[in-house]
Amino acid sequence: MIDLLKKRLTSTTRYVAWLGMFFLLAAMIITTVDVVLRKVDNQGIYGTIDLIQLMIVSAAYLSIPHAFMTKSHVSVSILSDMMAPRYAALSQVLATFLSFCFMLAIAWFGYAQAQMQSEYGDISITLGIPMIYYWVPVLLGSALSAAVTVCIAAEQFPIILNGGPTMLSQDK
Amino acid sequence: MSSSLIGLLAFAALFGLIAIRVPIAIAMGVVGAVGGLAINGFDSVAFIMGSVPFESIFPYSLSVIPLFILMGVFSAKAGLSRALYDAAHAFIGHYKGGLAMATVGACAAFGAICGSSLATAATMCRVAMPEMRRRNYDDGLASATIAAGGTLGVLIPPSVIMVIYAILTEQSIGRLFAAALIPGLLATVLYMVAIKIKTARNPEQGPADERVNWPERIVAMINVWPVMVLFGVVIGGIYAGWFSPTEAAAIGAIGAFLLALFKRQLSFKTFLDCLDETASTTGMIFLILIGTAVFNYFVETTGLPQSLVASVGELGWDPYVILILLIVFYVVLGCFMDALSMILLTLPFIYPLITSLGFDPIWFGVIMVSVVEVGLITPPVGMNLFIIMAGTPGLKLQTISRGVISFLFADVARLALLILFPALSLWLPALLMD
Amino acid sequence: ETIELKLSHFLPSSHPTQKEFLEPWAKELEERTNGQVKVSIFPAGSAFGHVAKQYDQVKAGVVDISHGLTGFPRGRLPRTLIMDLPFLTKSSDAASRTLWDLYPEYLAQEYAGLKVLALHAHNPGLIHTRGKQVKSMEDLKGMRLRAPSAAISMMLKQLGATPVGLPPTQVYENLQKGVIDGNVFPYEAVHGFKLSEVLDYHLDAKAYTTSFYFVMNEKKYNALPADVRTVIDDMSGESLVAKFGPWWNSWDKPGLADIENKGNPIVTLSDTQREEWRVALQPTTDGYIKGLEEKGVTNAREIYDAAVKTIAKYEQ
Ligand code: NA
Ligand code: NA
Repeated sequence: MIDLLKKRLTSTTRYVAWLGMFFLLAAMIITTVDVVLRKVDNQGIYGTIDLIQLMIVSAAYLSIPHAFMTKSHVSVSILSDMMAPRYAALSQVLATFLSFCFMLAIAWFGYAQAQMQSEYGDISITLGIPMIYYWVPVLLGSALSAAVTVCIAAEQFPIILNGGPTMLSQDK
Repeated sequence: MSSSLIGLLAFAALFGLIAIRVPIAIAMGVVGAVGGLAINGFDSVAFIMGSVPFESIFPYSLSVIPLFILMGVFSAKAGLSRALYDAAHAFIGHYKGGLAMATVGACAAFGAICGSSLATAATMCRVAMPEMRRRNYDDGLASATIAAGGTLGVLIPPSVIMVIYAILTEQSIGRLFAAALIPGLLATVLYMVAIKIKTARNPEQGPADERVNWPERIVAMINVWPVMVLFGVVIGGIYAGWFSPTEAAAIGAIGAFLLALFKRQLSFKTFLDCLDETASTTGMIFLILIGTAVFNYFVETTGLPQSLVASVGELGWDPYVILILLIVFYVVLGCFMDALSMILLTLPFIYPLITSLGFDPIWFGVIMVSVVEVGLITPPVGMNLFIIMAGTPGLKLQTISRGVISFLFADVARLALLILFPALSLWLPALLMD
Repeated sequence: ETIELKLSHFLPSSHPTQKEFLEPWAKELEERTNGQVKVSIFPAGSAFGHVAKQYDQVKAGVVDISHGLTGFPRGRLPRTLIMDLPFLTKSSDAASRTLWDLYPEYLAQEYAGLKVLALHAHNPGLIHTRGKQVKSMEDLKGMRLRAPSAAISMMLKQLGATPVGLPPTQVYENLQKGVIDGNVFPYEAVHGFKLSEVLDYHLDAKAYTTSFYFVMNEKKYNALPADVRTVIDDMSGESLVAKFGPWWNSWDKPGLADIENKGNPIVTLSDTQREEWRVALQPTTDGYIKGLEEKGVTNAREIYDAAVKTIAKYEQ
């Protein structure tokens, strides 16, 4: 069960991260085209900054679940390296629980904020892109991150129960 | 319970959570949110959690970070950085620690175009770390070199932090840039000296290779020309005013991508690997920015930094003793907070104090920027340390922290020189502008 | 028991808005209420100093009083923002008084749940350039200028220039490197961001203004003791609005002095020339108003006309 869930989530987070990177590549191309156009005929792309901001927000938030899945978020392992696997797994569960709370809080309170901005009709500064588009990746990324932390925590339970070998040694 | 007490408890909780392996970004975010709840109540925290995680990612100036990471990843995968380090190795590889010194030099050159420590560290990490590992450099030395070198992104003008300092204190930005130039070069030289001393005592950390003969050097130079062209366009373009640093990062990333394609180093699989790597690092850096922003919101509402600065001012001691106390205070605070927040939070209180003690505002600007940059490489919370850990599989905080000690000595030496000889900062602006 | 009021704004703590307006205002409030009220100020860079959050946070009651920019977030206060259209006004005083006159009939609905203490606008901004002097509309063709707002972006675009959006703190560096050729700012910001160092020419076109609001959370206001409310009423509204003209005049002086000390030429447009610019830009203005009407501000034209009329009255 957990294995299947993990498999699904791993591929989901990877595709979502690729989508985020697609936005980053788009930001790269738009910025370059803007520079080239402005050298050629003195007219860049109108509202480049609005577009780049949308793409960077997307790249950032869509990458965060992938960073959770690949355990790229930086942590300090001095103490847990010295713990018995069972206790290390316990502290890992606490860590993922806090991650879950924090990411869920971002999604939860962010949703309320996004809804309000959408009701007010807030738009981006130059192009007038509705701000709700900027919120979509934020909400998606934080909610998916919360889901990933549940899966990581679930992995630890057999270790806590059996005191078996931990995968922690592979992590950074 | 008073706000200051809650503040102190929160710092203890942050330490505790980090020690039991909670991701640092999450530890800061959770402590910030819970502490904020204790001081300001639910409505305030609900509002902050709804807005800060968005606004801390939103500024356009941040786009430079993932774009430079992308450039670094493409450069590494396409073997561009390898060619660069082969060339550096051909010329200085026979010196102990030669490649580490070359890395510091490259960081300085990068710092001269880019105003951000994070972007400098993230880019150089991709380029330099695998190459130094390949040449059997000690992980601690190699990673700490890049972490310290990354601070040159801010120490060498232009830099965002200097602009903020100048605006808050009503000083000339141009003057501050001029004042920071010699101290920035001094930092570069002292980092090289630190590497020299370290590798003289532990030669195995930065092993010297055999001297390379001139025909081989010329071959290495020929191999490196496409990279030189790319870096030349990126750096020269910013100097010439063709484009801004963010635009340079985009152009550099496209250039590295095209070079990789042209050298047939980029299969579809490698391309996806590049995206994976960029995504992991980007996600990690931005989550830290979010966590730090939430934590800073809380620290600020405790009023702790302000009251500490105020109580130092009331001591009425010798100006230099107070100055040193303040420096110690910033270094300690820098173990938990990011540089920009520290400046914004404390400068309104510290600046009147400093000027009333008779110190020169431009000179203090240089000191202050130097001191907050030290915070980027002091454990447990040092942004540059994290960035390098994210980009380097298997690197532990203990390892990089051990390596960073000699660079902290270099920082202390530089600060002492800057305090003892104000002319290091003030001579150039006087020469250029008076 | 003292009542603590949190006052937030988005400008640096060194800005005259804090030093000469907000701090003295807070102090006067504390004194006139005999210490019943204590005000703490949160400037830019603080937890409550974000420019796009001022309106939301005062409305949510996270802070009690806020000084914010009408244009952020864009779309939130479209009626008040009409004041920011190009070539509408020549002085802060007329613009501020006009906003206050328009407030009850035309603008009040944008501030539901808020007690509006004052509305104001800065002295009209100039076109500043580096390297190339701008004297006429034609001179702007092909130049890259940092624009402060959507309306000015549209204006520059119509005149053949490329508007660039940049945070104000990055204008210096990008001017110095030549990434942009100039910017559009009032004198006050030229001093605030040290821009005279990197600018060569100035066209005093009185091209545009930027409007601000100074508001209090209505629930919080209603919950205050009657004597405190009386003091606040006395310190806000018309008496406060009247102070902004003189304030902005004096806040502009250091910027003008910076430019004069450097010896940069300043060209000032005559009223006739300004009228030529205004007429040339009428399509942009009309398009902007039409856009507002389509988005539900059905009386946008009426508000604009009322603004023109009221300003004319005050500028006589
Ligand atoms: Na720099
Ligand atoms: Na630190």
